[in-house]
This record gives sequence, C-alpha cells and structure tokens, in this order.
Amino acid sequence: MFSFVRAETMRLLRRKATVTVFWCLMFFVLTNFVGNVLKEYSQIYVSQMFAIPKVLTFSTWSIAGIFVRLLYPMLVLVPTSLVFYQDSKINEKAYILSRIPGRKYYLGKTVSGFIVTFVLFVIPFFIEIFLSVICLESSANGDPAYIPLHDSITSQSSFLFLSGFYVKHRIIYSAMMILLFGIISGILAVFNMAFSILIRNKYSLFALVPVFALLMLSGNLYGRVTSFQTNYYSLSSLFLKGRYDYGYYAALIVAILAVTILIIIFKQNKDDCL
Amino acid sequence: MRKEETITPFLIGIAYAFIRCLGRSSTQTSVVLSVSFGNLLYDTSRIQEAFFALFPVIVAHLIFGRRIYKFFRNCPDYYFIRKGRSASWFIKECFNIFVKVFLYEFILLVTYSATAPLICNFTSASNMEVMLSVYYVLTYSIFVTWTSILINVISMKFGSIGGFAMIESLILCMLGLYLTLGNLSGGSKEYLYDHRFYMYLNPFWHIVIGEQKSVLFDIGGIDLLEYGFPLELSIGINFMILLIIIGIGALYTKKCDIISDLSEV
Repeated sequence: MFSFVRAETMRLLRRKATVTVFWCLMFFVLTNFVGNVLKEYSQIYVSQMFAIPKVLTFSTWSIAGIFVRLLYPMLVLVPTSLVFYQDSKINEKAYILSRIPGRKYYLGKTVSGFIVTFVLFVIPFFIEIFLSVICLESSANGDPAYIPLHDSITSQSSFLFLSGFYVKHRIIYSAMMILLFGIISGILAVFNMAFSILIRNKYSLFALVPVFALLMLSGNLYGRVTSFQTNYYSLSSLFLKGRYDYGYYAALIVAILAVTILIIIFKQNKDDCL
Repeated sequence: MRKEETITPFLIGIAYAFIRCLGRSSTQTSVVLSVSFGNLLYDTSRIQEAFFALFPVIVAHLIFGRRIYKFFRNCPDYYFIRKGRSASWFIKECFNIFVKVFLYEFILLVTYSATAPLICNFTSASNMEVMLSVYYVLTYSIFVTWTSILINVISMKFGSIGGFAMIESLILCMLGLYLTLGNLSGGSKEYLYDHRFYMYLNPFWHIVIGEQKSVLFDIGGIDLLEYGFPLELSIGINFMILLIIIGIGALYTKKCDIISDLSEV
C-alpha cells in the first residue's frame, strides 16, 4: 500500500499540470515577497513597518493574494481532478486492478491526490514565511489598515480564529493557518477526484465542474440561508472581518470527506461485483 | 439550436431570479444590473457578486466552448480532406457561435426579467432598462463569444480541460486586475481617470455594467469620461478582440489543413 501511494504521489508530482500550478503559486508568492522587501527597505523606523502575518500572500491586504484566491478554484482542481478519468480512459485501471485489490487502488490514488494537493498548497507559502522571517523585521507591529496596535489586537481578538494564539505566536499562527488551508485544499481535491469517478462523459472538462461550482456559488448562501460568511474568498484570507461560524465549517468539511469516502466505497464495491 | 442551448439559459434565468430575490426584502434598482456585474464596483468584499454574475458565463463556456473542438477531435481528416478550406469553415462556425450566444444571453435576460419582478420589487425607469438590456445582451454576447472561441482554439492544442482552465483563469485574472486597480484607487475617480489606459485594456472592465450605468444615467451631462466609458468603446474593444481571435483560430485551422494535406503526400 505504502509503495503504491509513494509511486502514485511521485507520478502526480511530475505531471505538467502539477508543476504549472506550483510555479504559478511560486510566482505570486515571490512577487508578494519582493514587493514586501522593497516596501520595508524604504522605511526608516520599525514603527512604520507592518507585522509579518499582515503582509503574507494570505493576508487581506496582499494584491498577489487577490489573484491567488481568485484562481484558487482552478488551481486546486487542475493537478488531480483527472486522475481516475485518465486511468479509465487509457485502460490503465484494468491493468492496475489485475495486480492489486480495488480497495488498495482507490484508497492509494485518493491518498496520493490528497498529499500532492496538500504539498502544493503548503510549500510555496511556507517558503514565503521562511523568507519573510529572515528578510523582514519580525518585531514590526504595523497594520496595513493603519489601525493602532492596541485597537487592531482588540478587534482581531473578537473575530480571528484562535485569536489568543495569534497574539502570542504570530508566525506559528500563520504557519498553522497555511497547514489548515493545505488540508482543506486536499479534501476539496479528493472530493473532486471522487466525483469524477461518477462522470461518464467523454469530455474530461466536466470533471472540473463539481467543486468549481461549489466554490463559486456557496457564497450566495450568506444573507439568504445563513447568517455567517460562506464565501471561500473571505474564508481563505487572514484578517478579513465578518461573521464566521467555525463549527459549521468543520461540519461541512467532515460532510465533504464523508461523501468522498462513500463514493469511493460505492465504486469499489461496484467494481468488486463486476 | 440544440435543447441544451435553449433550456439552460431559461433555467438559469428562473434560478437566478429566485436566488437573487428570495430573502431580500429591500427594493432593488434595476433588473439588468441585478443579473450582471452591476453591483461589483471595485469592492473585494463583494466578490460574491462577481462569482454570481460569472456563473452564466461559465455555463455558456461549457456549452459553446467545446463546439468547434468536438468536431476537430472526432472527424477532422474526414471533413478537411473532402471539403478543404478549413479557415472559412471555422469563420462560419464562429458566426454560428455568436448567434447562439446572443440568443443564450437574450433568453437568460428575458426569463430573468419576467420572473424577478414577480418575486421582489424593482424601481427603475423603463427607458433606462431597455437601454441597459440592449447593452447587456450586446457586450455579454461579444465577450462570451470570444472567450468561447478562444477555449475552442486552445482546446485543439491542449485538450478541453486545458482550454477551459486557461480561459477561466484568464477571466479570473482580468477580474483580479479590475479589483486591484479599484483597491489601489481607494475609490478615487481621479486615480482611475489617470490610469484609464489600463482600464481600457482590460476586456472585463467593459462588461461591468455598473461602470456603464453612470454613463447611461448621465447622457448629456458633463465629464462623462471622468467616471465611465463611451459605450461604443466598450463594445468596440471586445469586438476587436473577437476579430483577432477569429483570425488566430482561422490561421490555426488552416495550418491543420496544410498538415493533413502533407500527411497525404
């Protein structure tokens, strides 16, 4: 099982789509980092500089972040969405299934899809944090919205997820949020992979649709069905004010994961019957 | 027209009317603005409006973005060896796509306009609504046509998923540029006026009807260029892009024709 997952992960990591998405993310991250360095080096006093988490790509004020968040539905799907589709199209699935059990095949592919997406959405942002800690002033406390330090901490502690932790360890907090983002991206990618098993259209394009539509339209629930933010754009940015319900988001992620597992078990059982 | 090309905009129109109006007790200003990018106006916190208005565009891409590519994938040699002149065929297909996209947008708007006022209140001048409707159908048709043709052309080279992913990413980047310039301006019209060159170059900017609304409502007023665009420029820029893309696509299909001729030798 472990060797199958490792082989699949290496294969997925070498795909053109994966490499393109990685360099696309690196481009935005490095653009943001270079912009931050140039901006900070033009300042004289530490009091004029911004806190590191507030200039990262994920922060609300980052212009590169606007592009990353807008392209997110596409970036998260492209590397892994066609895994099952392509296997059945070139009959590789029959070849693999003749050598390993169906359970191992589906589970191995799903785990490797999760790992690849997780790595893809964590590594570039970790590199950014690492470079920022080295090159930028870590004691700076400035706020890009020019809110005084006390006010910004007071307001953030009212809406920020794990705000107490943010006040004490800002860099570790940012790293934790990136890990969480990577895990959620992995779950969304795996959900799309599972959904693509059910699609029998000969055009691979439709494999992209489920999660793309989910991400684009889920925000419309806010104000109509829910009283808290459901837009992925707002949820993926640090420091954006709004009403959040973290219990609901956790339940939603667990539900998506459960549906993914159900689809895979259903498909595996169907294959076993055949 | 095929069933999916007529039923889809009809269903989207009805669904949009319900999504937009249910749970909203306040009176809305314009039917056309509520179905388009009318409420976007540079604000990243209202990004959901953009996604909402982008959805029919994406559905149109799913329908029309495979039309020419499907033919290329299934029977190019058979067709081109017999008929030849693939460039003229491509141009004819582009015209067909334009007509169908025009009808798609028209059906969508008519269905939405007929359904939405039944659910919530709209307070808009009727003359202005007609002008906005004509403008909406024209600009959106041209925009969706050139993006669909581009998806077809890129799909011929990189496959349907490559074409779709690249063009949707391009549209989202154009939306990003729109929001970035809006963010940098901080709501200052002078800043936008100084950077109008970048605004003109961004095709997405020309389909944000909120931008055009100010021009429409101030016809005969002073300094129209200060905070909007002349309408003919908005249509013209998208139309120019459409012509360029048709040209590139025609050259590419011609190249495919030449390759198939050479393979005969």
